[in-house]
Amino acid sequence: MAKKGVLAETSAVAVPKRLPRTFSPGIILEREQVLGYLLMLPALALLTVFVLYPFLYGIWLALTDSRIGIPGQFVGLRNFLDLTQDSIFQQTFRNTFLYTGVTTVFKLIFGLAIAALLNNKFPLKRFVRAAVLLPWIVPTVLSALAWLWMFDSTFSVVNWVLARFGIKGPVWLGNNPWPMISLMVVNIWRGTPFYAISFLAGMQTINQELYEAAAIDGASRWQMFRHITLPLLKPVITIVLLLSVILTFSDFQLIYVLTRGGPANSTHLFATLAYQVGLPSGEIGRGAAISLFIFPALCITVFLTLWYMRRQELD
Amino acid sequence: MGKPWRKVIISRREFLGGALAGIGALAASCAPTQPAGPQAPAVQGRPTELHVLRWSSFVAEMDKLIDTQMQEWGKKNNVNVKVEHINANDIPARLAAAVQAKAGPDIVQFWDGWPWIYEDSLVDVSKEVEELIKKLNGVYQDFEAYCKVNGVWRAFPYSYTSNTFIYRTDYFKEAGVAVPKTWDEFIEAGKKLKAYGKPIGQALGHSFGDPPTFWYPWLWAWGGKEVLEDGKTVAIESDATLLAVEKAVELFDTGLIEGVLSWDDSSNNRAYLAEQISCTLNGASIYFVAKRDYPKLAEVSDHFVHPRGPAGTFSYQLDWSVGIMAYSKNIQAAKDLIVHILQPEQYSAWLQSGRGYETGPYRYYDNDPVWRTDPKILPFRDVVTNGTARWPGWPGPPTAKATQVRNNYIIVDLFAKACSREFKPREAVKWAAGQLQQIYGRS
Repeated sequence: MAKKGVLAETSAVAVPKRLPRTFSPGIILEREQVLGYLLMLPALALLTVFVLYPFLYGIWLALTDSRIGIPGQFVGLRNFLDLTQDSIFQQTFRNTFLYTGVTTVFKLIFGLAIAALLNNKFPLKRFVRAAVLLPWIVPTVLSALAWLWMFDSTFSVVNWVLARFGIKGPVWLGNNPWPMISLMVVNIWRGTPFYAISFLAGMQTINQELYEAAAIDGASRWQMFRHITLPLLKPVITIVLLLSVILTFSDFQLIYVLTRGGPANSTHLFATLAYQVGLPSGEIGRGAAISLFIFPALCITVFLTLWYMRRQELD
Repeated sequence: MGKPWRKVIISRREFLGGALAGIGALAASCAPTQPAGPQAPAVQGRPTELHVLRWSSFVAEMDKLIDTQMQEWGKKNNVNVKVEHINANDIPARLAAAVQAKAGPDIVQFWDGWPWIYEDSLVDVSKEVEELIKKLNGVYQDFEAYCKVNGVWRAFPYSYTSNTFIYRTDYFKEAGVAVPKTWDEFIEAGKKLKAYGKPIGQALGHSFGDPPTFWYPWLWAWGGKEVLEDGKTVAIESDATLLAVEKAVELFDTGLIEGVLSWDDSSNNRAYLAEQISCTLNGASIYFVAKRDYPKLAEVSDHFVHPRGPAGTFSYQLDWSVGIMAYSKNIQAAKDLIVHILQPEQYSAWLQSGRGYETGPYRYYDNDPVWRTDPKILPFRDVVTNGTARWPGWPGPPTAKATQVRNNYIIVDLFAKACSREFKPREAVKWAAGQLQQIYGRS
């Protein structure tokens, strides 16, 4: 009986009733493919207006000798070639890579250390975790102004403290190499919480049984960190590094508030030099070319990171 | 009890219909309420709009009074005047965005050679400026250089924030230093003052005011110049420039307080008021703050104008001008407003509200009552009337290229690179020559 019933149902499905074809918009919208693309349209429009158009316009500007208010002529790659001969740009190029490289390494080390500490049980754990985020939450301009005061050549609180111990502090934002070191310190101070909290989130997803098993086998805490935490945290580390490198490469606010690229251009990064050349000096084509110099470097970084992640997934 | 929102099921079609209706309503609400196009002249009940962008002066009373004067003029002429004050360092970005978008403030206040950079974006105001010059007994040469671009007045000369050297009379006396008449005497004074424990303070970092206004006249006074009279031929690589750099290094080492490489425009104000330095080039703001908050400090402070160098006496004043943007739909109202505030009835009151912080660019204001209020502020007028003021790019015109050189701090960094020992003086001159060749060599 049951078999017969099933067969009857199957035959009913196998021979569908032919419906008349209609072109109602409502029916078209019921199709997944059409509706999917339609729902993507608002996001696509936003991306086009706020990301794609400015980006393409930036490329166009970089290929012209435009000045503000004066549409320029197409000059091909002349702006880029000129920049490679410009000693200020060469210095900026070195500054940007040094700044990004050094700060990223320190943020990674400090971020891992803080995350490992915060992953333990201790009193006021939640409060401390929230407090660690503060440097990252405070608007950059505000915290940079506070640092500006701390680095002030006449009233530096840091130097005042050092003087109590009989040490003469340097002119933080004045005499090389201190201006760049000072900027790196502030960047590391500001960026480390992002690393720490991201790593902490990653650590909390690691199965505790792995640590218990390792403890039974007599592994030390360092061995656990080295052979369990670090390998399992790799995807998070990769993503955090990717985001951090992009943000540090294009850093503007810290430098603008603390030194404006001075003294003698020793702290210019791509973004601050692009601003100085493109806006106050009016050479917007050249300014766009400077900012576009970041692009290939970032593309390579993103490509390598994504390639590495993909390889890890396949492994 | 079940959750009520779970019972509300919206079909895909209903959702899309609703979303489209919402977008339509939003678009309708954002649409202009009247057709675009040139705005009609002011008529009863339909006021004209004027947006004025100005810097935030260090003397708040001046901003307050100019705002009131503009609003009152607006009320009488059926014009809604919106005055916006922003940090001077932020004006370039705002101006650039407005020019690129062809929308924004109708009237903009800027300094130095900006009319040359924005020549094509500024309205020709020659007729109005010529009338003002005639009425107000002439205008100073640096303003003519800045505002008259290729024979056309592109901006109204507005005011000087003039700068002189403020100094501690008591420290000078105790250190055995007289007011220097030449730059060599200035260097010698620095040595004695530094030995006394109260050195000279002068910014050498990247900031729009103090560093350029000190180091350009320093270069000129020793005979250096960035270009020749044609405004095109780079002339920085000379024995005179080398001498200027060597003298700068001497001053830096023996007379300046430590840390000036990091100083911005406010650093010397703080250092002077904290009694860390004995002398610095500045506007009158230090003296005013001292008078208000530290009267004893004001009593032992006075001012002197720029010393003389082998090539002459030079100063570089902060010249403010106001321009009308070509995209403005209310050009005539904008012209009328600016002419109104430059009339003696308004302008003199405004000068007096600043107590000498600002100086008039028209000779009529040389004897304004403000200069009879305090003899210690007279140097701020004299540094203008003595005709020593020059401009970036001098002896050529203050072209867009000269402004680029200024805004990229090439001349300031010429000295900074030598003083910081990044380069030897000769290498610093060579570096500056290379930078200038690049900028002036570009089309």
